[in-house]
Parts: sequence; C-alpha cells; structure tokens
Amino acid sequence: MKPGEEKKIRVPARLENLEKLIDFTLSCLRSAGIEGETASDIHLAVDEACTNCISYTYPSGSPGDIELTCTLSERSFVATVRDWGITFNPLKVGPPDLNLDIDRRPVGGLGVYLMKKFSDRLEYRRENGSNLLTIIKMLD
Amino acid sequence: METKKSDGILVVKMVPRFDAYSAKEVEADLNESIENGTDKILCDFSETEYISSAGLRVLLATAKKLKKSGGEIVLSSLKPYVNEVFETAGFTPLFNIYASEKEALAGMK
Repeated sequence: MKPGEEKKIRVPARLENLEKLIDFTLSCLRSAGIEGETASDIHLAVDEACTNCISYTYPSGSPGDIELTCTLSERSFVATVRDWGITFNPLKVGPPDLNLDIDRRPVGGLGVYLMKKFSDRLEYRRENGSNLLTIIKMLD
Repeated sequence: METKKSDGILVVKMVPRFDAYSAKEVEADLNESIENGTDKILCDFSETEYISSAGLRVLLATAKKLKKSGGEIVLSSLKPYVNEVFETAGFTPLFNIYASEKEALAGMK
C-alpha cells in the first residue's frame, strides 16, 4: 500500500469470516510496511471491532455484511468497520473494573476496552442505517 | 488442540491465534476435559502470537470453573505481546504465570 491508497473487503458478518477479515488486515499492514507492535496493536483493535459487530449488531435472523476499509496516509493507518445492523456505539461502553478478584470479575466486557487501549483514536457515527467505526493508529 | 498428561496435569498447547473464532473450539475442548474429571490444566502459550478479549474470556471462565471445584489453571511461556494484552486487561494478578512449561509443572506439584 502507498499513502493515499485504500483497500476494502466485504463479507457476511459471521464468525467463520473473522480470519478472512484479519488476514486482509495483516496483508494490508505488510504491504504498507507496518510491522512489530504497531501492526499487532492494529490487528487487535480491528479484531475486537469486527468480533463485536459479528456478535452484537445482527441479533436475529440471517446476518448482513461487514465491510472493512483500510487506508494508509503519510502519518496514520485507518481501519473503518461498517455494518448495517442495529445501532451499536462501542464508545458508550463503560470501562471494566480491573481491580476485581477472580470471583467478582465478570466474564467478558474487555473487547471495547482493549480496542481503545491499543488504538490512538476511535470515532463512531451512525450513517444511513449503518454503524461506522473508525480506528486510527498513528505511524511514527 | 495438542494435549498431553503429566502427573495428572493436562498440558494444553494453545493455538497460535487465540481469537473469537478459535476460542469457541478451545472452550469446548477445555470444558470437555473438565467434565471428564480434569482439575489441573496447564496452558502452554509458547506458540501463541496473538490473543484477543475472546481468548481472555475463555481463560477467565475456565479459571472460575476450576476454582469452584478445587482445581486450578496455570499458564506458561507467554510471548511479549500476549503478556502485554494480559497486563492491559489486568489479568496478570488473576493467574499463576510461569516462564516455562517445566517451571509450571514443578510449581503445580
């Protein structure tokens, strides 16, 4: 990938397509020359965003699609996850309590937190019946 | 998943990419072992390059289950990035984590 270039993949929002979405992301990162911790951070943030979308935004019936767009700019790598399911704004999910002991720790609820921690900026908007989540990672 | 028994401890070689997709299978395998009477599990992370919240979820659920029945789950050989995810999620204090499988087996006896 060169700065200004954009790549896109659209698949049904099913768990068995998670590998496809991640392999697509990893191949974008490789071709952009992004590696090491920055690449791993983007991998994790995109994975959590896609997993949330697959798990929550199409609660009933046959799932719709999930579209992932990766854009490289001079200073950042941007991954945008779009779905056409119910409104789900992950930025409204509160932080987990990391000080609870094992008995009181709830199972789950860490995905959004990790996504926030491992990216530099997250933006959400509802647009024409779709959820649009943008993950921004600065390159330096 | 590749497993072996060592002195009553089930040693499980964890998957390279421990995400929501593989977590389903890992959880089913661990649950089956527990139902068949296993109460001591060592998860060997030496081949795991990646873990997401879905993987963490399975580990926490298994730890809770085993604690209730008097058993335990122990982890070994976390790679730096997996360790960083553990630290960020506040999971490090919740588990016994050893540097190698050998040390973990010695510590579990």
